[in-house]
Amino acid sequence: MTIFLTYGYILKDLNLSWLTKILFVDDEHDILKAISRGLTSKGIDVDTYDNPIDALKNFRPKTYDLILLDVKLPQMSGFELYEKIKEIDFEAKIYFLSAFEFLEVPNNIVPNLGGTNFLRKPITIKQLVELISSNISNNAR
Amino acid sequence: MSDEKKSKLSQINLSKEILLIITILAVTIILSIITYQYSNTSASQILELSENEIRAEAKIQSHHIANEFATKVGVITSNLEIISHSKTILNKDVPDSVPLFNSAQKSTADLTGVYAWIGKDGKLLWTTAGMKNIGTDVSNGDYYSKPKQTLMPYYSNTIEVKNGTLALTISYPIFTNDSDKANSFNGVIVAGVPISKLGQFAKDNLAPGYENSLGLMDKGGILLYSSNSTTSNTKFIGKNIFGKEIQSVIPSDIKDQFNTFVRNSLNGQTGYVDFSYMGKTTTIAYDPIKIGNDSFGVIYVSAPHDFTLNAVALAEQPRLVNLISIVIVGLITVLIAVILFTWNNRLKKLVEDRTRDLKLTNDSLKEANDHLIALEKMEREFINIAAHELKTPVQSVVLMSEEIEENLKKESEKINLSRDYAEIIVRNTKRISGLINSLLMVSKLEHRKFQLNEEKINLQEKILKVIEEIRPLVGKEQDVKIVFNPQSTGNILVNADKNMLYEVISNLLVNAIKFTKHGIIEINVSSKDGYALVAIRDTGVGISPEIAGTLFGKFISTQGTGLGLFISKNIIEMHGGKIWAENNSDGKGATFFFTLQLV
Repeated sequence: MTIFLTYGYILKDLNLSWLTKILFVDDEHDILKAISRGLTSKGIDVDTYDNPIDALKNFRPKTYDLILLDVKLPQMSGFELYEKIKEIDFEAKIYFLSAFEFLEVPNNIVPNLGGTNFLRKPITIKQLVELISSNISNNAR
Repeated sequence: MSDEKKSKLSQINLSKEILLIITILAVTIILSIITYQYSNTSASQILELSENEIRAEAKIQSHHIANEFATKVGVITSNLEIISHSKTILNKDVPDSVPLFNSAQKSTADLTGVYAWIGKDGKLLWTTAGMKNIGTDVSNGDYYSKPKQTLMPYYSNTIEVKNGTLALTISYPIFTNDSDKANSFNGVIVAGVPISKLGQFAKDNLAPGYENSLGLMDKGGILLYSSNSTTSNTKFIGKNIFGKEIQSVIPSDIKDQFNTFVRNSLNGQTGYVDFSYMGKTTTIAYDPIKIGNDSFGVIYVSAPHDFTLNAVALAEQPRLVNLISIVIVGLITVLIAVILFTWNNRLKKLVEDRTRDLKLTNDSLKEANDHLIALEKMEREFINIAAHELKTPVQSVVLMSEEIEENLKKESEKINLSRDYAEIIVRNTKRISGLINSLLMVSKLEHRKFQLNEEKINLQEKILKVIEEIRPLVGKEQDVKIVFNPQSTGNILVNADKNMLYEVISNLLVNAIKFTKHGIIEINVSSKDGYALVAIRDTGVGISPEIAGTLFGKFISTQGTGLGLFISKNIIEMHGGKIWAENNSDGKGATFFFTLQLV
């Protein structure tokens, strides 16, 4: 497993990585750390940011198989970040992960998402891995 | 609708109503005028009709009487003619002629008083009135000289007969040779008609009801008979109409009219004249008594319009009644209209009032509804935020638990858990615990399921205790000093639940520490007017104006549970105190105050 991971990492450094890579943005450090380490231990590469500005600054199109955004973020909401990402990479697959019970989604987003791209906290690593796999199978990077 | 528009509308409505009432009045007035005119016309038509009837009646009467007279006079004239042609007269045989005269007189006794025979020389040959005057020379009389001159029958004007009576004469000339009248005059046969008999004859021939309105004049203008009350006095009989006796009793304003009419009638005209005097009208119809071309006299029949006055009064009655009834109806209509308008306006006002009331009720209901909707929204918001605050640390613990579960599969006694993960568990578990306590506290406060255990507490001591326990929470990166300024004079004792009081002081202190990066946090205690005042002053970021209004609401603070201030406010208010916050006047930080009753 470790050899596999290392190989994946080397390939990533050479920019020829075929390992699954996801982006995760959340302002809770504990959650960022836990999810990042949890997914990494399953062989999934994770880029984490605790604020949207840095996330956007470093965002390159066609980098990620899946993007995971918290809704409650500093400086802009998860929905605004979503729009900005879509401007850069229209085909990007974006999911929302929220601890809110009732969520008011802006009208311009709902048609795009169709309601299926919302995940409720708490979520387990197992559930995330399943989600990522199912997305990989219908996705070409 | 704006007040301006409303008053304008009501003004328009008022003027419409006034216009309608004026229209009704105008119509009433017009109708009454029309009815008045109409009945006026009817009345005057009736008047005219009845006047015409009266005139016609009078004319018929006068004509009838004139005819009667004419007929009678014709009989007398033919008597005279017969006598004048009789053999005995031609032979001058007086005694044999007597029966002729007597029978003639008998036959016209209602008019004639005497038949007489005047000879060629003008001497009276015979009269039916007695032997006394036989032989008298009467050649001066018109009754002799005129027929002698004209060779025609002669009707005289009134003459005075010897014994003072007035009479008219009808004389017929005698001719020995009718074909040569000029040369064969042989005397005159005369019939004398006393005017008293004329009057009687007239009376006898007049229809009842006209007894008082007959007049008879000879062709010279001498009044022969009058049934009129003012002239039936004998002093006027035999006097000339144009004489001063009669003229003086004729009212001046009709005098000219009267004299003209008399002259016309004496000219042989027939007709009628209306005299109006003192509001009364009288029609006088006149007819000449004509024998062939000769005029014997004139008949006057006067008919006062008394009857017509009654008729007019009767005709006018409905006029007045119509007028009054129309006016009454008009007034009633106006009254009804006014009542209707008043009623209508009252109803309108009532409706307006009700509508206004309804609108007010509606508005307040809407307000209440809006309030409820807002409350509901707030409830949802609260649940949402509480859920978020709870699920966030739970997420961390779940992930840690999952990691532990993985490790447990190894089936060894001890499991490896990195330090980071352990810290995450500890930190987040505390967070969950604190939040759950706060939420439960809020729930109890909201449902007033609270029991305060009040006891006498030394405020200064309590504050010191809290400071000691909180001080360690100050972060290493914070350069903050906590300073306590107790009131120097004596102890400050308050009645409070010790746990709740602890809660409040620690909440405020923790907040002060959270929002102050560096500086001093000062706690002051004082007492005044039976109340203890605690002030916790910091030099932090202060209170932004957006949240100043809802500072003590639920989940306002972005750090910690967000319920601390809400809980503190409820606790202090349950103790009968007040809690508030102000930004410091020097612009650095804010101060939180609360009061509690002194023991």
